[in-house]
Amino acid sequence: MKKILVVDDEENIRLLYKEELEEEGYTVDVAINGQEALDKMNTFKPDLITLDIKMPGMDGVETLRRIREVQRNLPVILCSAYGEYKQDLTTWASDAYVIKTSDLNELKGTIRILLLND
Amino acid sequence: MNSFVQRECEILGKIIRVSYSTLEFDACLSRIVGILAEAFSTDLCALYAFHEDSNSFTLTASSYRDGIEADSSGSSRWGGLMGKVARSHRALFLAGDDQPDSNLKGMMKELTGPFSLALIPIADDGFFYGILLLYYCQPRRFEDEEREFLLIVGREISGPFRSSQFARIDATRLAEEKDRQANQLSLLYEINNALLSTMKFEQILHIILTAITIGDGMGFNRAMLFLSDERRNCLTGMMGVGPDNAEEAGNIWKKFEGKRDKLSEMLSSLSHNYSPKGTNLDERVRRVSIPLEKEGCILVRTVREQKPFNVDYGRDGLTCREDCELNKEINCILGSESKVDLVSYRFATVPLWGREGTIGVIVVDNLYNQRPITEDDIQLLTMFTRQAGLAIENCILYKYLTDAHLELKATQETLLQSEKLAALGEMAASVAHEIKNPLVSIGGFTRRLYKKLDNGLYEKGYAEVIIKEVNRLEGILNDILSFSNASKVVFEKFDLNRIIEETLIGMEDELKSQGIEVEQSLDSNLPEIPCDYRQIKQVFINLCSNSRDAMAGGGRLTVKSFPLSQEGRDYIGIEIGDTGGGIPFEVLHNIFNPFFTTKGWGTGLGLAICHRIVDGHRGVIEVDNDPGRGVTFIVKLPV
Repeated sequence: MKKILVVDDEENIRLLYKEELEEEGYTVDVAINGQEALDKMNTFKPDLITLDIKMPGMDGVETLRRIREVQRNLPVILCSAYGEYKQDLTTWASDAYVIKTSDLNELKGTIRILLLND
Repeated sequence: MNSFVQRECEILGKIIRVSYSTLEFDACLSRIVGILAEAFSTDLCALYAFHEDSNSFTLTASSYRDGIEADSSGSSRWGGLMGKVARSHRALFLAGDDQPDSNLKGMMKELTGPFSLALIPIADDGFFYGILLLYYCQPRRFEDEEREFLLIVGREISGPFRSSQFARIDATRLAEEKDRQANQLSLLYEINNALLSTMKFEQILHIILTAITIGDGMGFNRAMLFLSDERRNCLTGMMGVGPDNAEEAGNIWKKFEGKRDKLSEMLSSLSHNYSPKGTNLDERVRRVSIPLEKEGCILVRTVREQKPFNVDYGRDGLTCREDCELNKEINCILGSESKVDLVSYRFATVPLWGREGTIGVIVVDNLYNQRPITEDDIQLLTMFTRQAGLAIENCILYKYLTDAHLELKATQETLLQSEKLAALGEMAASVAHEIKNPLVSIGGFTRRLYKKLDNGLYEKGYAEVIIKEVNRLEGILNDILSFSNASKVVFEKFDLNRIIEETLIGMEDELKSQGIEVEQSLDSNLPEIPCDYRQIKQVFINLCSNSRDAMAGGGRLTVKSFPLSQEGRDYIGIEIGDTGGGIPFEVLHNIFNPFFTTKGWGTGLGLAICHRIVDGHRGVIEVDNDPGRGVTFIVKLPV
């Protein structure tokens, strides 16, 4: 069973993603910020990470950079309320960029494709 | 002998002193007559002034013993003798015992009894002023010395006569001159007042030319004004004022006759109520453009040599050529239409002076009444054009300033507008961002709820409503965020046709369900162009959505792509047209404004976003509106 780490500072979003993705058959753990995400990479060992960009403290882009230092090939999906970071070249290090919406079908589809390739 | 000379000298001295005194002319002559009467012990001594124009004498001063009176007209008693003196400028002496020569006999018929007289011409250098008369009731011999002395006196007395005559002539001339100058000054003053009444260019020109042509002004028949255009290096006709034919001229002159308004008021009111536009002359003058290099053109010479020309066509010969623009347009010289009598035709040119050199030229003529143009006319005109030139220059400067000011104001407004929009965008973006996350939660969990609820439960219907409304809110947020981010572009090379196709595929179902037929005509040879894929797709989506909304009852959506060149640059053009009835004319100017919408829903940002995105791509978006039928948007993106 594939493991997904959901990183978001918003509690409700974390809950929503967790429940929806678990229903899809994944094992899901959550992290409330970048630091916790880096810690859980070692303990939880996820197959894929969804990463919110706008977080207090270490933001998603910085977290992505740190993740890449450890695990070059781990699929990471950047999520944000809007595509304002899309032109930021550092976000290109992610495998996908998904704009947050209440309809999670796009996110689910992206995860499926990335894990399939894996 | 010595004593005689001494006496003569004394008398002469007295006379000279009186002659050069500051006495009035009449008083001066009375004194002289007194001196001579005493010195020569005359029964009558008198001075007669001669009037050349009426060939007559008037008594100007006399001194006499009782019983003897001078003839005030000088005509009856010795008139004939005086006439003789006047004609010959020679003195005439009659001693009682002399035998008068036969010539004089007839003239002396009425003179009875013994008497003697001397008639001395008052003259100098051949100019005859009058006669000095010495008369005795007894015969008296005039010694040679006396005769000579009297001749000297006669010459001497001519002094006061001469000065008095000059004074009279000078006074008249000066008075006339003063009158003329006063008239000119008041004329210039009136015109100046009128010129000060406006800062409008056309009005200034019109006042100037009217002042030149109006009867109470300078009274020329026609006046035309040309300004040098330094950029195009030519003299350009600005305005012409004057009747188009002699008949009209007569009518106008009749109309103004007897009107005695103040000139300045008339000029100002004229220029407010009447424009020379539409008259033949004005239209023709405005067509004239004379290159400043043109040799021999009197207008060009006037500007170049900075001096007026008074051209008498008959006298000066051919100064203009037949191919002259002015001639062609206004028949200034050789026009057959105006039936100019070449021999008497005259015109004058006067430069218009600005602060630094000439700025143009004014041409005047008296085509209809053929009044000669005098040097006085030119002088007055020159005085006037110095002021007129400054007025025109001021007006041009003022116009420049006003234009610059307006431009600045417009720029400022644009800046303010974009600043406002930017601030609005920033705010909207941050608000939207904050709302987005909760909205995702609401929508996401409602979807979960919806999935868990059994079909048929009315709670499922409620959940559905929430989902739909959240979708709507998310759409609005996306619009706002797109708008505020439209200036941030990520350029990559893309095939526009592919973006169009993807857009249409995405919308295929809804278009079909609304009965909209899609007509595609894409040029497959278009080059890829650098653009932001997501943004350009948004433009197409927004435009197609508008078309879809406009064609609720079905219709045809036409999508075309094609290459085009404009002002030396290559573009790709994309046309998206519908048959949705077009945009009402009264709202057309608003359609690109943010938050403007005619739909009952939506944010009113759709076209504003398109505009910003296309702007950010250095492209153009145009509307081809056909009210009642449909509207076509044309997006042009640079290659």
